[in-house]
Amino acid sequence: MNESLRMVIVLSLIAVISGGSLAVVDNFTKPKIEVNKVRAIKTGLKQLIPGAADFQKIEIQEKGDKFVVYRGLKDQQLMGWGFILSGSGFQDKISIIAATDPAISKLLGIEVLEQKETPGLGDNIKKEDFRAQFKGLSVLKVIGFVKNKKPMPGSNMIQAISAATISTKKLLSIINDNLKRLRGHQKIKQNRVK
Amino acid sequence: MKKGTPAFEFAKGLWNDNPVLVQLLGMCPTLAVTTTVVNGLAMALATSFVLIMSSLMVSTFRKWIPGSVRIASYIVIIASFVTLADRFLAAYFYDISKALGPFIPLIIVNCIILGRQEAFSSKNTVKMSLLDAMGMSLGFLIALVLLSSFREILGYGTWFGIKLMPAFFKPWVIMIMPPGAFFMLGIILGVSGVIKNRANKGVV
Repeated sequence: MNESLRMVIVLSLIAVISGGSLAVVDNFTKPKIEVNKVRAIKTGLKQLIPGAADFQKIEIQEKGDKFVVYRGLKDQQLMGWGFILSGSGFQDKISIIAATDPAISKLLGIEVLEQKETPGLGDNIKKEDFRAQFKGLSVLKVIGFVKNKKPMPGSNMIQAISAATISTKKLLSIINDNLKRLRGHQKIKQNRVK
Repeated sequence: MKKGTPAFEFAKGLWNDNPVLVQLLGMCPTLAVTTTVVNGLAMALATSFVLIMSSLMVSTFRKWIPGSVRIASYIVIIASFVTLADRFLAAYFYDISKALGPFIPLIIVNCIILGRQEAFSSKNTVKMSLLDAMGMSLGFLIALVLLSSFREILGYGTWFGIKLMPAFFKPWVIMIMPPGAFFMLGIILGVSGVIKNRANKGVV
């Protein structure tokens, strides 16, 4: 057989076989991965919004961006909001849940769903004691940060992760920018009372 | 041990031809993920799976793959197994998959894997290639666990997440930062070199 023809055939065959097997694997792992993701969101929401038992999903279109927002309910009463927010971090996408009180005035806390920040440095954003700083901060004002020291009480700031200022900064802008956009959205306003 | 025997092909990866300590291959994951032992171990296991499976495939089909497209073929085979490992972890071990983040997909560019296909599996029988891949995987695992143990103990004061150092010990933060990886790797390479030289003196 002609050498170049053999090259084409063998390489195409390998590509077809690997493509095919990956398609099969993707087909039956995809639903499981989705279930895992939804479970991670539900667990996060339950921890962040105290008392909430039911979660109602709302999808919002805002100037070309799609957002997913959850209303945390207890006996039909609104206990808080869970915003699924994402944006670019230091290396790749960061995706978080930011939970707020029913009035969307202060944060109940945040949970990191997906991140690929530097291990040991930027990935400290998922650590409990870092995330605890967000509890009670106002979302009516911009949340800022200070380096290497504890922020003044009431300053609406957090302490940045040392050696990972960019990860901190990116995380804050994901929260600040998106909540500002979403807070006044029609669909959120309609759902606020109940 | 004589070259070419099954025992030799397996054992060479552990010490004499250790992929990290001697061949200095796969430095990216070696330096990047060894901040904790759990990360280092999970990385080594995922890499082992890809290396062993790729060696199996490449040695099985070595006679059919034309020389001029061999690298492209190996990369496609390796990439398929990496994606497979990545999807499986995400579906069944969601937490580990979240912890290792981008490093699983990056196994594709680990030189140890492509290096073994090119240097060994493409020229040897399936049995020998599997032994070679297992030896190299174990050598990689030993090096990663060694490096990550020192880094975790010094950098966090823990081992496998268990508190090991006394209360007055102040963690060396530098050890879990990238420069710490270079320091520690340098020390380990130096020490293993000294041991190797001493051992060889008796023989030669």
